[in-house]
Amino acid sequence: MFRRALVLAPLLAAAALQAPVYAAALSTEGGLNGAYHSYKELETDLFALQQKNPAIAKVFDLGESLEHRHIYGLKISDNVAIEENQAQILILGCHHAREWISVEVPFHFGKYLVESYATDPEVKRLVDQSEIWIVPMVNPDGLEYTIHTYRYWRKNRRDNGGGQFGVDINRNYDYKWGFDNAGSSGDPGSEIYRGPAPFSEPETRAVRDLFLKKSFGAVVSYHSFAQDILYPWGYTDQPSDRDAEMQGIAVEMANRIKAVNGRTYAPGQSGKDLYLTNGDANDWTFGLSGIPSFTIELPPIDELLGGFFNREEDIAPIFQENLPALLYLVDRTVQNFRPYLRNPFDLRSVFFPGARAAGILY
Amino acid sequence: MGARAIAGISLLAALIAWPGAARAQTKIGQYLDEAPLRTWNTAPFTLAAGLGRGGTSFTRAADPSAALSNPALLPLLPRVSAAVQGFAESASMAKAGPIGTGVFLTDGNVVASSTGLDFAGVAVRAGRWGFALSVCREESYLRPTAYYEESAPAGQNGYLLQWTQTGDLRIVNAAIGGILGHGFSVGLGVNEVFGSLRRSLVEQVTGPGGYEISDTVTQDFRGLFLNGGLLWSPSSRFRAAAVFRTPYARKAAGQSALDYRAPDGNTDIPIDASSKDTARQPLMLGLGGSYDLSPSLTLAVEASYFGWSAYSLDFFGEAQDRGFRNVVRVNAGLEFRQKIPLFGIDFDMPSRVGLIYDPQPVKDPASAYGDITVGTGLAAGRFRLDLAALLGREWGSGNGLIARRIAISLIFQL
Ligand SMILES: [Zn+2]
Repeated sequence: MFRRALVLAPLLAAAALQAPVYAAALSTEGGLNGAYHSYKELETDLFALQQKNPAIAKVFDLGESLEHRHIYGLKISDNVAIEENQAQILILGCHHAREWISVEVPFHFGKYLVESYATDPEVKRLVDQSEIWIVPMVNPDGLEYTIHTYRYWRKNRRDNGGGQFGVDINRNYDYKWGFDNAGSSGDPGSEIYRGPAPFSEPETRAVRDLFLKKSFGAVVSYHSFAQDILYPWGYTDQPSDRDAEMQGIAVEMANRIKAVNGRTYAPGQSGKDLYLTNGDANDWTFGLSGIPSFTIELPPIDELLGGFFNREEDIAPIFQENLPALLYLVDRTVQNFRPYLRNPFDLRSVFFPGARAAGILY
Repeated sequence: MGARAIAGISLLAALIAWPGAARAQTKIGQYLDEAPLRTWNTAPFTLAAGLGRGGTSFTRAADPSAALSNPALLPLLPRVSAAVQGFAESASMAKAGPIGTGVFLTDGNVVASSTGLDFAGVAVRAGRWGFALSVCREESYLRPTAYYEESAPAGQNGYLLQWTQTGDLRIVNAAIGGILGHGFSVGLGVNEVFGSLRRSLVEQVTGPGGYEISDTVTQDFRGLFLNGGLLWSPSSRFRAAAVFRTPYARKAAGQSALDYRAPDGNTDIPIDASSKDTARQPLMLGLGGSYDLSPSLTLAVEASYFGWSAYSLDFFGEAQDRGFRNVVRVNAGLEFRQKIPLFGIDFDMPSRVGLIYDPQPVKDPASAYGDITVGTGLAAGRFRLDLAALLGREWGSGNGLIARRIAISLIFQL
């Protein structure tokens, strides 16, 4: 703990110093959504990162949304063009359209890694020893609808018929999908409509297909608001058999976050301390692979302080406070990584050979 | 030009039967945010006389609106003519903004209606030359106002959601036409475009701990284009015409104000933006002919090409994907002229009827209107009153949209 704190001190200083540089170099100026990324602005900025350092940053097209937008993943690693036997971390943003800040923290993390790689030995060490996958905008159609039409839209843009639109893609994953009607809904008009079937939505299939191709060691899915660090289970208020371990990691992250700007993110079990959710991303990744899986609910803490709004000038500090927690999780995943053998008897390939088998529960 | 919006909307907290197969995506259809009410193919503007005979206006005009459809007609007008027009119009839509796309649930198409004055102009003829100065309202961006409210007693939370969109586009046209001889005349007009669009969405949770989100976008439009035409009258019974309108850049100065306020938390989070955008408007080319079947009956047929595939729109710095298709509108009309004696005066009382096939540029779903028009008039001495009505039905989108327009124009001529 003390050793880590010492390592982090220079990182925090670097993050603080570099904040103004970020603001100047982005394509987000001037749009309807201010300093936040639209779909096209994100596309531009992700490819700019790839162009800036193609040796460690590569943009992947993970799939197409319902309205034919690309769901992009940014892979950051040394030897980025090849698959290495290294620790892998997945960072997701914007399952929910109106949670604009949840695009920014993952994106800025990728930007920070790319831009600090050459000058920061600690960043270089982590990037060299891992594959960091960042998917900042899982729900581009919904996000565009929040920019152009209705700011508080949450779901994707599935036409459910009868004038009802949208599937809550964070209720569409196939672990305890539709477990009960408290954690999701079968009503197409509901804000937590789970969809007609698990992985019915191209957005969740894009995440699934990436996840099944890789061997991730940790997952963070960003949301807002409430300032929480949530871990499985979401579908039940009963703890998982690794509750203490997950809580330990969440507490470590919360402490690091608080040390930056003094903001408290409450660690807790998703289904017990927030509310019941079934079919969400974290229950699926945890249920499938048993890897540390977190939902981080970004600021503000409540509606009185902004709800799904954050000041444009708060993007940088919110990213900065999340940076040491992310670096800690990457470092932890690297430390715990044991090189795996790719062989035909890999359990993963036996039980989950492809998309069709992804519905198996355990 | 007062505008009145009628909302045919109810927000239903209804259980909707689960459809067998979910559809692919949100297809907004014709009513994209910037779409004119009723039809994308608004050019050329016509007064009631033209509207009554199916909008045919390239070869026959008896009022200053000739400057907008074919300025080559100007030297054929009376020595002085002046006109004003009033209108009432309505159009139905299935989806527009948050209506029918998941926020405001409707139990059918909704209708936007407005009334006002949409033309004033004067034309004079001097020898072989004709001149005109006019202003018209060519496009309306009106949408039905959508409104939902749940009131609550003091100390509890209520809810309000309201969406509006208004705006229009006007053209000031100065035109000249001249007779070339051998049955030919030509004309050219300069058109200054100006207009605005305002869209606003307000969402409120009232009462303790409540908040308000307001999202307002305004745009001011400017642009300049030329229109012109050639008229050929080889005989007293037949006329043919070719007309054009140049493509042009419609500049939009935009302001966006998105704001979150929570009074109990002293929170105010504004996200403001301004922009200078451009919409590339299409080339329009028209061909038409009219023939006097008898001294009192004239048939006119016209085709107008709109190069919508070249249409592009930037909106707050971002190119919007439109992918329009080029379309050809076909107008056809008949005019029957007769004299009716009333109170000892001989009135001219024409009867007009017409058809319009009006395909829309949106590709998916591709749609077109079929319009029927009727019109009549009453003229005596220096004054003429024209009255026309259009009823259109759309097919292709599956929504069976309806468009209506009534125009009354008063013309004074010497
Ligand atoms: Zn969320």
